[in-house]
Amino acid sequence: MKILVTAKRTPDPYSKIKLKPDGSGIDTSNIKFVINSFDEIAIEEGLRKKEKFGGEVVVVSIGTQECVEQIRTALAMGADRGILVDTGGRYLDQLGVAKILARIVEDEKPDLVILGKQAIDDDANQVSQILAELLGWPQATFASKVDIDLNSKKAVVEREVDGGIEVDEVSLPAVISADLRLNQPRYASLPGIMKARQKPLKTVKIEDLKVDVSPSVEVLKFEAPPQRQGGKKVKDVDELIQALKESKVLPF
Amino acid sequence: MSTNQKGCEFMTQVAPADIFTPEDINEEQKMLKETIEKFMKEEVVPRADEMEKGKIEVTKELLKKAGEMGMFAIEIPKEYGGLGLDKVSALMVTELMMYNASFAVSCEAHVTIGSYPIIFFGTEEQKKKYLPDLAYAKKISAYALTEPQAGSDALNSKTVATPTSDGKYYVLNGTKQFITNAGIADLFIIFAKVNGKDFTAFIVEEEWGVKTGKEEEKMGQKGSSTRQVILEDVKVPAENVLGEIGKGHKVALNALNVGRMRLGGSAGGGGKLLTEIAVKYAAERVQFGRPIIEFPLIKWKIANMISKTFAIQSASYRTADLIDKAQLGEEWKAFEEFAVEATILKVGGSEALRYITDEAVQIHGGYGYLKEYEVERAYRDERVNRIYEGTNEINRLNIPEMIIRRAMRGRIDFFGWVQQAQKLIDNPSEIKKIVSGHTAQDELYAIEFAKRSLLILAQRMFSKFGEEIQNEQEILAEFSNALIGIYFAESSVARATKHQNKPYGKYYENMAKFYTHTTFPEIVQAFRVIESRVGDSYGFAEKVSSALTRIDMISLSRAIADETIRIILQK
Repeated sequence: MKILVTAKRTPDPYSKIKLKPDGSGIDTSNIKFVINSFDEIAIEEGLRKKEKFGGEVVVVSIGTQECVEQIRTALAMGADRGILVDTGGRYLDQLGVAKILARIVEDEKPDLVILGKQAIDDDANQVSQILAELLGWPQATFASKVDIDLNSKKAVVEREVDGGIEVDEVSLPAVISADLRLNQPRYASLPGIMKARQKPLKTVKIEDLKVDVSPSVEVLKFEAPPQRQGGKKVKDVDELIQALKESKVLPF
Repeated sequence: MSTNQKGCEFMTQVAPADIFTPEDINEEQKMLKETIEKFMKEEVVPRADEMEKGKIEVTKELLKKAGEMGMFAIEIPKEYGGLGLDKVSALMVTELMMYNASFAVSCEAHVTIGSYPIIFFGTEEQKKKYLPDLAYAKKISAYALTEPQAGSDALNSKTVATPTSDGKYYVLNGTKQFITNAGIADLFIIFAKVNGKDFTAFIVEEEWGVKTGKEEEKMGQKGSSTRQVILEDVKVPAENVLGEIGKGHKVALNALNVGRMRLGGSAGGGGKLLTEIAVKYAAERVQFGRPIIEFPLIKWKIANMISKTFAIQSASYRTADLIDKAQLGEEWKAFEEFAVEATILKVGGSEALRYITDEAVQIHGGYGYLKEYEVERAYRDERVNRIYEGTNEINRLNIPEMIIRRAMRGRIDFFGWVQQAQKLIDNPSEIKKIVSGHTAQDELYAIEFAKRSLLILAQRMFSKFGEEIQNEQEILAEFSNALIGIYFAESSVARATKHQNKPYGKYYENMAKFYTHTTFPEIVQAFRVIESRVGDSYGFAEKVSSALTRIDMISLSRAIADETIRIILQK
């Protein structure tokens, strides 16, 4: 089966994020970039399904030329080929990203698209849903388990919901978004890294896709969360109650 | 740089401006580095406490995982299932393994002394049989040379290999001491004397009856397995002789050449990590109302730690690349060619790491004395680097011995070098000419002056004592001290020169200068000691001492520390 997965270039979750002084974005000068953690899980799931059923895993990244790094990492993990949609650095909103992916899906005709449920940078959690809608495909989001039955062309997907596990069945082709506990992504193996260089990587210019990606969402400003205030020590219970009242934790 | 650069030639050349440096790694190597760093941080570091409690099964599990990733396939040739990558890649990985020294030493024992003997000297059948499994840690290897009474004097082995009457087997008897990986190994490279006289290497499978003693309770590196290996009538097929009968020393010593080179990697990696840990701690620790990192004396320590790390890395990447580029047919010959440089890395690297680790503890103050802080473990882990892979004393004696041997066999034109050195020393303006254009050229001038003076003094030393030189251990060791300082300092300057136009060019220049100025007194001291024994009619000690122009070390220290702190804290 042919599986399309995504690899968004996002800051390493362990890096220290600093804002640009004008609030127009984050200061990326000293930040390490990695594959979005949830996309990494999506890639792993794609690879496992390929290992089970055979076929091909195609990885897509949308952004600047720097995203080649993330595509190469996915190729080193075991994906077969990569597609970079070069945006020239322009801002895209979630609808724009979904439209581009839909366009790629039309060309590639995969049996399954697996994406991270959200990106750890903007936490939007919209692309997979919009993509399914644009394609008119069934969707199963926040997957924590995916079983495929190739004969009946169906996927059985478990989703962790409040109070239990919901089991959905979707017919293929479908869009699935990966949740945290779907799997534990592998490390790129060293032989994989060596092979990655030889694997095909196609760059497509965003203009050539002929998709209207003019954003309908505008980013106004980035702000750091307020700094946590230090705690305060109290002498006794009376003072504690008083302090709690003052900070309106106790209503009376 | 000429691809045909030979070993020891740095003694007669000016530090080349195009040495290979850590900044020169390619895209694939960067990816390799990131992947392994991720593995170390996510898989190995969280298990450090278990390993520290001596749970060697955890170490074994991690070695297997690392093996599956291909970490040990790097240097195994492609035709035996490996990746056949270069020594620079291998060095880079060695540095990263230092996130946990117990893990690092277990990997090193497996690869360096556990696999390389087969890569170097195995027969086609032996390579086919063992290397693919070693490449992916399906089998774990160990190297058993040392014996209870035969440590530095390794050839004084009491382990005996007796051929069976049909000649098909050798029966091994004896005891080996301090064998890293003994408790987890499937394969041993064992040295024994055939019929009690011909020192020979054997590949011995654990299941043929190799027994091991109890785990030694060590000062550090507690997560690595160290045991006696006990051989009681272990029957080894004759086809498992490694190399030639009676040529075991060749196998033993060439494996150690690899280990010594790579210890430069461990030292550089360890130095970098410990500097980071110390800086982060000092930025948090508040005394007298200020983070202690703001105090100039702490900055002085940090400048020293990072400059030493810079020097180790400059020298070790340079050396790894020289070995990569040596075209000598067989691989062991490339390592042998640069055995002097590798020995310099071993001694200089381990001692620089000692300094860095000690200062990392000192910056932690009383907390550095508590097990809760990882510098306490690093302090214990570091100690053995100066003992294994040949003690630093044996290695210090090896350096001049190798040089003399090469000179006598005509492999190096030692006397030509001395003559050339004499000409330069007589015309210091010539030296000024050759160093002009380099970054830190005043420092390079002094290094070159010291280097040439050392050649002349060494010739005097060798000719004065002749065969008796081997009894002059103190001055032989001092000769090595001077040479180590020179190689590290000039590698630092060369690296700074190469990157002088980069944004970090000034930072590198500062570190190269600072390193040279802090190490130079040791070089001068070496001249003093040697001259006290062979005569001081040349007056080299004083001349060398005044060859280095004084600079404002304090401004330098503060600038280096500030930049180091900035880089580390923004990560």
